[in-house]
Order: sequence, then C-alpha cells, then structure tokens
Amino acid sequence: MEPFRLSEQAIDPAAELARFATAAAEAGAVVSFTGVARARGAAGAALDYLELDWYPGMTERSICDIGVDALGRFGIVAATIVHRCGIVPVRAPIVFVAAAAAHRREAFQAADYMMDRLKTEAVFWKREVGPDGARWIEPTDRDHDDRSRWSE
Amino acid sequence: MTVLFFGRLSDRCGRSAVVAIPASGTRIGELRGLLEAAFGSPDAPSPFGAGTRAAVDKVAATDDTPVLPGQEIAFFSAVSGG
Repeated sequence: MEPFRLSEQAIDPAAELARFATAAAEAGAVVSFTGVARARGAAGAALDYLELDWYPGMTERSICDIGVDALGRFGIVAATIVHRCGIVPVRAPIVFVAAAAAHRREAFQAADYMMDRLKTEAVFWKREVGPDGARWIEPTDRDHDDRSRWSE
Repeated sequence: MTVLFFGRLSDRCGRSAVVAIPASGTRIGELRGLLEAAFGSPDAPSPFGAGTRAAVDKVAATDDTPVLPGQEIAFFSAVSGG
C-alpha cells in the first residue's frame, strides 16, 4: 500500500497505525496523529459534513512531496500520510499521519511538520456544509505561523 | 483551451471554462487577464486577485509561465488540507 495516499473511503486510524507499526517494527518510536472533521464550524454552528475537493494528480503529488521531505529532513525510518477526499461526515477522521524513528524526538517533529505543511500546502479545498449553507475554509494566520516554524 | 477551477473560484466560475488563446501560446498572467474579463464584475472583488494560484499540467505556475494550446491549466484559491 502506498505510504502517502488519498482515500475516498473512511480512514480507520487503528488499522493504519497497526499496519504502519508492523512495517516499522525496528523503530524505537512511532508517533501518529489523526485529524477529525469537527462537528461545529468556526462560528459554532452545527455542520452536516465537510467537503474536500481535490485536483487529481496534483493533490497526490503534494501529499507525497510532504511525506518524502519529512523522511529526508528528520532522518526518520518511515512515514505515512492518508488523507480523505470527497464528502467527510462530521467526527470522521480526515487525515492520518505517522512517523517512525529510532528516537521519539524525530518522530514527534516529523509528524508535526507533516501536519503543518498539510494545512497550508496540500492541494485541497475544504468547505464546511451545514443547515445555514456552505463556507470555504482557508489557512489561518496561525496555520501559516505554524508552517513558518520549519522554514529556517 | 479548457481551464479548470477549484475552491472558492469554482463558486464564481464553475468547474471549467473554455478560453481561446493564440496558437503561438500565451502566459499565465495574460490568461488571468482574459479570465478576469470574462468573470470579473465591477461590483465584486476580482476572483483572480492576489492569493489565486495557477498550475500548468498540474505543476504550480507563476504569471510568467508559458502556456501552449493543449496544456492543462487550473486556477484555484488558497489550498488547505489536514
């Protein structure tokens, strides 16, 4: 299975983690993160679902670039990114990332790095859809600040 | 040539539009101007202003990037995953 991939189907974080940990059995540290579609929008209104639009070909490459960069930058032994696309129900996993390394620090950093770049560079367009209509979600100043931590 | 739109831009322009360009080609910046003329409105902010990005054959492009007939062009608003 591709380590960096899109999924139009539901993500099972437990299964992904088990598969990843098995493949990285020699690592001393495995860190994972699961992002979940929030049930309420930024203004507090209940949502029906999240819509994740993507550009076939370009989106996959953006995910792969981020994962490969993490592997090179932190010297980790393995990494994975599984990202949902299409309609994502609220409370469903939207992204799963994991990093395996000899020691914990590199694994934590690599997972953090992949998420910061996914928030600002992965080629997706997110839209919250609820009873009051739809609203595009774009990176916030905080997302850009988080991404800039890795620029040096 | 067919131009694809993603994100907030697709609300304004639809999923795609057909734009005529010279057989000798053009540049993304000039294409942006053609699209602005087609979809812009004096009563609303430009949909193709700062923050709007472009890609040629699925590779990020700047206004100086050449465009030839037959290439796949996309314009889109700010991206955000995670």
